[in-house]
Amino acid sequence: MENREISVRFGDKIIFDRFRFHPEENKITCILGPSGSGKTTLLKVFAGLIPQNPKVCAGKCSMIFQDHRLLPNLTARDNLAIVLSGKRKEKREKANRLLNDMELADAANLYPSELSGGMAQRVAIARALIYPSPLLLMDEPFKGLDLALQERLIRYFIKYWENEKRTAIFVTHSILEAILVADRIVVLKNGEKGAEVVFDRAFEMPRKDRALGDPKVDELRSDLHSVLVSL
Amino acid sequence: MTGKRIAENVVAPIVGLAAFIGIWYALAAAIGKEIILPTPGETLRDFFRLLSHRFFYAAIGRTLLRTILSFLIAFSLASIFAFLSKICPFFRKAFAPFTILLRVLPTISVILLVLIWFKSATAPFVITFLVIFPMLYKTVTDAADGVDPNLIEMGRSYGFSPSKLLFRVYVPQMTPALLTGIGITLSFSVKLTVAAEVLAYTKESMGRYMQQSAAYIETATLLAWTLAAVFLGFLLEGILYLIKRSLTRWFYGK
Repeated sequence: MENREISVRFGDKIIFDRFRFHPEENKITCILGPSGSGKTTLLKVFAGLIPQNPKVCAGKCSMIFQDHRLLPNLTARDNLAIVLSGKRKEKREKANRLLNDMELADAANLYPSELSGGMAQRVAIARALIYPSPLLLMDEPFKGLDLALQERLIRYFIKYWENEKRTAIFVTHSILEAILVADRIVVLKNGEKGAEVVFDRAFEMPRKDRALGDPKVDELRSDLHSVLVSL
Repeated sequence: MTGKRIAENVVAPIVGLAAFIGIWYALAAAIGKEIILPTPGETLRDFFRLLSHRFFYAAIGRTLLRTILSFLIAFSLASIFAFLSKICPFFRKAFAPFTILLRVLPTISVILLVLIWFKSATAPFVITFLVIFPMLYKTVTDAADGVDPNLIEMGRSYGFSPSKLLFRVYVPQMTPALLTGIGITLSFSVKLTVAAEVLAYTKESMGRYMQQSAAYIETATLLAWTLAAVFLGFLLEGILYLIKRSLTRWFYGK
């Protein structure tokens, strides 16, 4: 992945003006910031959905969206298999294995309309994990889910990401989600000349030890809160 | 099937049909002249008489062939032009006046002009094509515009090739809207082809035999041919229903 300049405008509105952002390899970079600060746009730039010349990311990327975006005419298994290449049987076997691992074996033959919101989002996460790409892009993937489900999904995600580490950019509005997941946290704000980084800190504490009440976690949480309320 | 569903799906249509036949019979009996309005029985008598003639099947076959052929060509071209419109906004704008013109052009003007320009055997085919092409073009473009942009974005982000995006995202999403549009247009095509055959006096066609029956004031025979046209419409609708049903699981997952 190249550390290239990003410039995006929507009409007269400057979103990024020669902005540089380089996610650390095989680490999770969380991006926080108010609405309109360019978080989702940044993901779309990395996904190639907003073209840049030259490209910011030349390789493949997996993307998890706010909504599941599963194809309604395919079963959960086939929604995973469709992002793979190779023989149909092998693709389905691979999809079955991951669904089993993610405790979604019962959902394999179900269509998205037959899945609950949480299950559909887990299938979408599985689709991103099964897709062989060096870059994982996540756009508020746990938004709108109840707290217990959010926590379970974060646990699932961390477990499978740690098995097969890859570079990830995780956009969220939740300080807690960022603290639980991130190796590095970046806060964006929308300045006059597009997005600016107002906070950028590595967080190297083991994920299993991260809990509210821990002094390091509380300090980071307090710092992030101060930055975000000042924007 | 529960009692309520049987009442809704079986009894209600039978009651409707019986009421229609009853009113028809009462009117025919009140008028009392077969030449003006034959009874349902007299119409059925002529219909079964037609069934024993080879020309009846030949006429239905030719009318059906004209309808299906003009429909298939119109649908194929409408799909190609809709695809070009989707990938090239300039083409869409440039093509818009042509489709709007065809759409607003009075059908009778199209029929009369085509009758001047073409032979009676090809005129019904051309007329049906010209009238249904803009309808099908609009059906396909509307269906393509209705595809969820989020799914397209998902496909692009996962590196779907253009053909994968077309056949795995666009086509399944467009299918329900397409089938609805096709159902409406196909029924209309049968009516249009028969009407064009009547006006063009096309040899060995349902329209020609209907025209002949009208000329000799054989009202029962005319109604028998009408009954055959209705059955033809039902047959096409039935085939479409079966296609729709088999595709429902594919699209909706039910």
